[in-house]
Amino acid sequence: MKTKIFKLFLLVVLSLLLLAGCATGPIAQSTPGMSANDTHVFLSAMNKIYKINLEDGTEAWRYPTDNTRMVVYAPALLNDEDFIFGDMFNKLHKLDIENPQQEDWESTEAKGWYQAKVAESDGIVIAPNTDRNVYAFNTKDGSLLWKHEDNFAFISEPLIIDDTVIISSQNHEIIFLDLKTGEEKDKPLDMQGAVMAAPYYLEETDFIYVGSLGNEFIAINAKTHTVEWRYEGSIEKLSGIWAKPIYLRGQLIFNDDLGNIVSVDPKSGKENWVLLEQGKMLAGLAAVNEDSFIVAAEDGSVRMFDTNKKQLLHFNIDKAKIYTTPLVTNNLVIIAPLGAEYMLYAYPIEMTSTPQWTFKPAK
Amino acid sequence: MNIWELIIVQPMTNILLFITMLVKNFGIAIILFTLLIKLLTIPLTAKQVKSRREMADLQNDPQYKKIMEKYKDDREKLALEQQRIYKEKGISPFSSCLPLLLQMPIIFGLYQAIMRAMASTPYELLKLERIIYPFLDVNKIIPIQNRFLWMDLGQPERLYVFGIGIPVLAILVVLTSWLQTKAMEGPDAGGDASVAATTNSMNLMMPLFMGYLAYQYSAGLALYFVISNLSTMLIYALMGEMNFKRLFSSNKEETPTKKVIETSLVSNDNDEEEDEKTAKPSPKPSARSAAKKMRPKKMKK
Repeated sequence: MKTKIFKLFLLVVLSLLLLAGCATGPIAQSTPGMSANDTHVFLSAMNKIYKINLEDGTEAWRYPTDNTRMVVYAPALLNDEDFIFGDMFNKLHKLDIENPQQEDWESTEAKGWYQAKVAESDGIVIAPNTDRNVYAFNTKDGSLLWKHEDNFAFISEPLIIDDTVIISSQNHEIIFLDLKTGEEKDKPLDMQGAVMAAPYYLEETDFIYVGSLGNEFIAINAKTHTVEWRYEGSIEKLSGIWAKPIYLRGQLIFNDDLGNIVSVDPKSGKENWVLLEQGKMLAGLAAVNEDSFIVAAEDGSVRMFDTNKKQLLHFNIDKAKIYTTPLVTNNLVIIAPLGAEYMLYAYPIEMTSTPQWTFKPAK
Repeated sequence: MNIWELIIVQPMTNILLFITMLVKNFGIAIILFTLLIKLLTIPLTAKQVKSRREMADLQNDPQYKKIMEKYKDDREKLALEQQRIYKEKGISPFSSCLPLLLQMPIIFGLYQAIMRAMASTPYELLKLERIIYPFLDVNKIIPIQNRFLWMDLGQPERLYVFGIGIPVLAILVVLTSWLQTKAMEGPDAGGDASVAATTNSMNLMMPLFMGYLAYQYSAGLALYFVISNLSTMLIYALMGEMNFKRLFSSNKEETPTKKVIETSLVSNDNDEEEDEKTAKPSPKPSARSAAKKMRPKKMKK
């Protein structure tokens, strides 16, 4: 009997060792993340971050360069020399943008995944995590400054205005934290549903705009943190809102996941126009120039509209499903679909249906 | 949405979400939902057990053994003779597979429903939002509170002790899977060493594989594995199909009498008295009597 018990114990120890050794990391489906500077676009997709030349779509580097295991979907923060991103192995990294082998620091403080782009101000990195904490790290050395705990995972990008961190919570609220201490600066603002979209700040009005899954889109006074207006236009019931709005020629334009696109006056919330059900979409809108914007839908369709809701262009990316908000650089519109032949499609900003370049990582 | 999603995954996901709404705890909802599905599939399990026993009995039938020996070098003839015996005894060699095949969509559906409900990225949440029935209020359901005991059900589970993350559920999955396969092992391979070796290796590899999945995937899935294993063991124990003595004995030490006992449990009511006489005392009388109570009437010949 003793031998059998010993064998059982051995089996447990062996399985423990095997489990620890064979781990390849978390498995979750997500969508590619993109960020860019003047010369490069950085693509976070599955197990790598790729640095790609905006000029011709060639790969400059990839991280990790070796077979180190990583899962990353969050777009990287590019701030002067800072290149900071979190992964789904619960790590936050700060790399040298020219030489990714050179890691400035790495934080293993969090117990959950980093799904959202981090924000940075005054030498403090604000990093939302799915372990229900918002973390603040010192940009220089990655040391933990504070953390704020809530009831649900944080999965959207924070907004920093002066010394206030504004962050969407799946706990049906918007949270206002002190940048330096992490203390609540104000009572959380109640929303009608989980807030997935990142808040958007417009200096002209000094309002913060955000929508939720509770069929609402609201404007919040950035000083008082109270609701200025709530969308009450021709669409009786908005669907879930997952993305930030855009601001074009005095219009605030947002979309819901049924593809309803709404233009309102940012000060009063009064509706200018609506475009109904342009295709299911998780991705947000992307302003191409002062007069037009791009809409990318789940079915792989890409449309361009002007601020009078006139459609200027429409094409489809073959086999693509688009969930990531298109990225607009100085002269390109970049789309990162799922399921298509290429991971990136870069179109000239004048927009044609023929990409200037495409990107698929070499093996 | 494809047919599979429409008739299996979507209804199951909605039932799971509905239970979550009622009990307000996703962990408990997973446990209740798993038990509910296990209960609903008991008739199929019973049918499978009955067929398996019939086949096991046949393996011990002297006439069958004789034929096996006689035609061991003539596969064609052996197959023909086997067919004849199956026909004579009214046994279908595939009848034990059918209930299992019927259960498979339910098991896969259950797994997918749990995975779907544990959405933790915006992409997965969007997919979940789209399959929720209109009568369930999306706003009250999404996001699901994934916290359960020390776990975040949407993420791989670790219990941190002095900074070391111990995968408690993964270990429990390995243990319960191993206990289950070991205690539910079928008859030995009739002395065939290679088959026995394969079985032994499978019995070890499967629990490790399950543990690996539990380690990698969300804690909710690992919780489902554990509850599923425990409930399966309980159901089989109530049907008299578990032999916990096997846990501490090698296959060689197996007594052939178990099969006789098992046969008595599935035989029809008219045969009961006869079975009582031939069967040696069961190591677990309570399990035996429970099995009698659970015996479906359909089993009568």
